[in-house]
Amino acid sequence: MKILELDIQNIRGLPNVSVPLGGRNLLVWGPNGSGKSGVVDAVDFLLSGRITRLTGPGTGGISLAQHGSHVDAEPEEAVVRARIDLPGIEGPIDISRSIGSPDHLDCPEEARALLSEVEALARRGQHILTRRDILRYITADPSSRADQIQKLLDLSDVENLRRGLVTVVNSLRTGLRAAQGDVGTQEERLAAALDLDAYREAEALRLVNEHRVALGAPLITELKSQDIKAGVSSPSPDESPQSFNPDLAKKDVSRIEEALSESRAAQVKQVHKDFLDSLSVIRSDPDLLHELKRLQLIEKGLDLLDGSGRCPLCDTQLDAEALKNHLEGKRDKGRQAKVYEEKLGKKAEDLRDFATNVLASIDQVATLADGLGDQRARDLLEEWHVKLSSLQDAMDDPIGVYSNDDFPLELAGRLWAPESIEDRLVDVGQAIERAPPASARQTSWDVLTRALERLSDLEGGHDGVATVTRASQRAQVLIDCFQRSRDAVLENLYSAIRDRFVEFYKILHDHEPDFSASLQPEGAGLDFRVDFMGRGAYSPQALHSEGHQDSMGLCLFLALAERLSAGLLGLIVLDDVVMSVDSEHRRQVCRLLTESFPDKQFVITTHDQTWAMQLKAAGVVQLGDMIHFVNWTLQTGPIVGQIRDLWERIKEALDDTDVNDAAARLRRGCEQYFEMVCDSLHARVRYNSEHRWDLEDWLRASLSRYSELLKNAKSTAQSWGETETVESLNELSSVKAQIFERCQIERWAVNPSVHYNNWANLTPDEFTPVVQAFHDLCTLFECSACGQLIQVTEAHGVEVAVKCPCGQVTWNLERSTTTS
Amino acid sequence: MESIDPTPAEHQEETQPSEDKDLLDQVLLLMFNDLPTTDLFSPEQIEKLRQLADAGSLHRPERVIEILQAE
Repeated sequence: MKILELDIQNIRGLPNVSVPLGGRNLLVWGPNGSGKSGVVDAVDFLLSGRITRLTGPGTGGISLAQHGSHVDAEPEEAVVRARIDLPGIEGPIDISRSIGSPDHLDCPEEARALLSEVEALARRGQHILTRRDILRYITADPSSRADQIQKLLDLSDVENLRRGLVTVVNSLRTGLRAAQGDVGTQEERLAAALDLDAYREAEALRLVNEHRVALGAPLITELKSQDIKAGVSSPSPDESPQSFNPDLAKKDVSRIEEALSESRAAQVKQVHKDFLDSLSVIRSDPDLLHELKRLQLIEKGLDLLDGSGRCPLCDTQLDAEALKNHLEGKRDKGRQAKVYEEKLGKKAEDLRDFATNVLASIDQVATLADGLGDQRARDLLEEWHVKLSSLQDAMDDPIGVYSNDDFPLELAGRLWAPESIEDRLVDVGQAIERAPPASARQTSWDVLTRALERLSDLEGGHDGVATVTRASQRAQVLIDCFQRSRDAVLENLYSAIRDRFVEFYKILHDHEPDFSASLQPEGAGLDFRVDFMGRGAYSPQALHSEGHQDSMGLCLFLALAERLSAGLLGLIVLDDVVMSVDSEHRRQVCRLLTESFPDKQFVITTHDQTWAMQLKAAGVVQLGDMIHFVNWTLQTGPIVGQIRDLWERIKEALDDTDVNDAAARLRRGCEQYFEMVCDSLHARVRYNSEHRWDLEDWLRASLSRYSELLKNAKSTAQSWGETETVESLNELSSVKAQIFERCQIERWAVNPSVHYNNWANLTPDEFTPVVQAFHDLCTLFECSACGQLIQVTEAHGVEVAVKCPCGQVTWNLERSTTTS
Repeated sequence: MESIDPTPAEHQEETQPSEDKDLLDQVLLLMFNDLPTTDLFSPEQIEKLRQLADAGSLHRPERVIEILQAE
């Protein structure tokens, strides 16, 4: 994407600025506070819907809605419009965005999908490099650098997937613990069915075989649900005339009564009190829980300390002793929390067991009560069953789930049984007593029936554990494999970026042909080291100058941007990024931009006039694509000087009979123009200690120097006997003389009718010839073919020629040493 | 029964990350090339994981768990 025209209305300090870029590079230059950064902000906002400078550290309280628009404008009046070329879309298209609706880019529908990709790239910051960014790339600690580069690389998708897979691993681990807990509960239920105090497989098998023998079946050697009743003969109906087994029912009622007994009540109350004490300690200190969660990490971190003071997790450089003390403090607190957690876990397990031991019996007696027609007993028992089941669930995660409101302290002794349950149990017990006893064979049959049901559940539980265990192993392999793949891809990517970075850096510093660098992940950080004069690899800020660091930042950014924008976002904004780079290396920056990025469109801002002139001289920007911001005011913004449309704007002003505006534009434009002429021709400008020069100074020096160079060129041509060249230069002298005459150059300083300070007093008819004269004067200093300024070239400090960039204008200044 | 492609041969030929591919695509390409080397996964599971990745849903834990728990 390239910008052809840019129109900025009420963005930051720019009330109204229009720039015809034509897809070419643009230079915005001017002093600090002249509004240059407003152009950067406007481009940033147009492409991304935000102004990066208003975000990030130190921008608290600053918002796009309140501070993005000009201080005197409403958000809806703050608009950036552009005409752009977009790869894949035929012909230029118009796009715009308003601070009033920052999330909406107004554009043709057929371009929306492509522009969404451009927006995504821009939101990652791929289009703008500022000095602040350079610091993030170069002088930042490894973790900040990794953040910055990974943001640019957009690793968010990769990171989201990693997090998702970590969640899979953790969920399955939690699921495995729950499944193992279920197996414990199922074992307890099976033990209860066989009248065992705790589950022991061999003992359970022995009891099952006793009942099988009673029913005439052979012994079995393994406890399998499919074998429990295999070969047993069922009792005849007259061996148990009722629908329940009184012996087993009595045991169930007895087990419930025992759970409600005073001796059990004292145990439960004590366990519950200890549980609450531990829970209270953990919950009352949020830090304790926090450190508990990080204990393993902190202990690992302490193991990894190497005495350098570098944080093993984030690579931040800290004081070694302070870091060690800090981590040890956290570890001690975490260990303290661990003790409380283990105590809590033990008590939670005990409470869970109290519930488990009685739950199966409650279930059985509720069914029995239903069969006996005692609805009240059934309802109370079912209510209790629900309460104890929720207690079991709460004990799986007591810190997160348990609530005192659900399990009041005063009811702990009753194991949170409903009131009057005892009376209902008495009624049920009496009904059981009235029932005729079951035969021994019937009892064995009923025990095996219960055992079969519960063993079947237990086998299902074991299958569940096996399934989750395998899934958990697969999840671990999956994330290991993912992370290995990610590391391989990133390593490959970083290698490519490093190679390109080195290539760019060597262009800027061609006296360092053996320069090398490394860019590689190190833990959570990204280690970046560069060669220093062949003496080894160091952090960029260790030995290199600020200027070298700035050029490294530029090279690294360009290496990243080149790789990632993939041709879609052909625009790069460089916001005052060579402040610390010296003049010689800036020339090389120009070379890098023109030779390595011929297809990119650069928008470059600077307050440095020398750099502006270098960019022009090197052909990075053309004369007409330099805009000069000066004299910014709140109401008008900057006065914008741009040579390309200078004459058109002046004509517009004269057409509107606004001589004042036309005169101001001519004066500012010519000041800017002849300042550049002085630079190109190496003209001598009269020095003043205030370092302020006006048109008179620039013009006098430019004309004088032009005459001098023309004279030297003629003399040189004569020395070589080049008569055609001499004739051509004579003709040019003649044209020059006419133009000088027309501008009344000889008398301009004393003639009030053409003195630029008085231009504003002229009528349009009087002023038009002055404008034409200056327009023609400017053409003297430009090549008619390439439109660029002619400039003096030197070799070894000696002026050798006056040339334009395309070579059509060439005045030789090296005289022949032979005498004709 | 969904159709299964048990031979990831074409993927084996593409293990070198291409500059044109998104980073995530490159990572997934390598990962799916490695997974069949362990006997923990059935070809059906790998294919389902691949389909989930193609649909951009591999980051959804519940979908992944469902596949990993299937026998």
